[in-house]
Amino acid sequence: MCRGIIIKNKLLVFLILALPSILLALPVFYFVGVPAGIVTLVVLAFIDWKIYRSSGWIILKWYHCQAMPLGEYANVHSTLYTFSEKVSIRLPKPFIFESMVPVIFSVGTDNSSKIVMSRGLIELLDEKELESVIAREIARISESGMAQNTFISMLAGTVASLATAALWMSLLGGFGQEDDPAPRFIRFVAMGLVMLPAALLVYLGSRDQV
Amino acid sequence: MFSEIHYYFTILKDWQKALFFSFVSYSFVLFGIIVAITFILKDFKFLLVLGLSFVYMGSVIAAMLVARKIFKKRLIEQ
Repeated sequence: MCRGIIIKNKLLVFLILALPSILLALPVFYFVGVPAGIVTLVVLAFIDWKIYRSSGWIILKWYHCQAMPLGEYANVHSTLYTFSEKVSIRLPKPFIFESMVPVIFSVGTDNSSKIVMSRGLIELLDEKELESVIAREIARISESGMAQNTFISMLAGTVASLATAALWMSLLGGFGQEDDPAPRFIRFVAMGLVMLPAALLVYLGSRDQV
Repeated sequence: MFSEIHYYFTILKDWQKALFFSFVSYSFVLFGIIVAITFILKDFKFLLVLGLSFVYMGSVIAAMLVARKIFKKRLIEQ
């Protein structure tokens, strides 16, 4: 990926984090004064930094991920060890979540990365196939930009989850049960609204190179 | 007529279908806004609705064109 695109991605992430903080701090600057405004900006910058760094943890909680026990998944652990040694990165921690959809993704930072797999993926693939998908994830981790990608995924996931929120609001608002046409239509419309910005966020903000 | 609709639907690529459904969803929002404005004013102001529709749909179409350019670049060229 060329340097210009990386700078653009970083600028987008910075704007996403900085703009709400600046907008929140402006009234403090205006009504309370400069020292209070500076303190507010510092506090908000710290909160932004914490959100940015802990987005991996939020995604793990979101998917109800559990650490892979060494005994049960010894092949996954040994494959991770082999490939991470080959590309000289810190050993990623493997996690598993309950879903029959075959999915693998990585979250975290460049220094502390986690590889998450669904149970469906492990059951579907044989040993060699699993090795190849793990190798791909390791390659992604080795190319850096993990923290940025994780933050963008968390943000896009939050935007996309508004469609589910709309479904729940329609259920609680008395539009019917989950399988009735009205709540499903409301979710369809909400999904059409939120998926475009979510997809754009992913395409513009992530540093996916593999 | 349904066979024609089905034909046009099947020739669209997945990302084009997604953009189309997004466009329909944003159009529903415009409909909701027009209904709300009409109820609030207790009158149907044609020029106001026309101007609002023009500005809103113009913004949506511009956003869709930008999205199309980005998706096309990322999903096809790469």
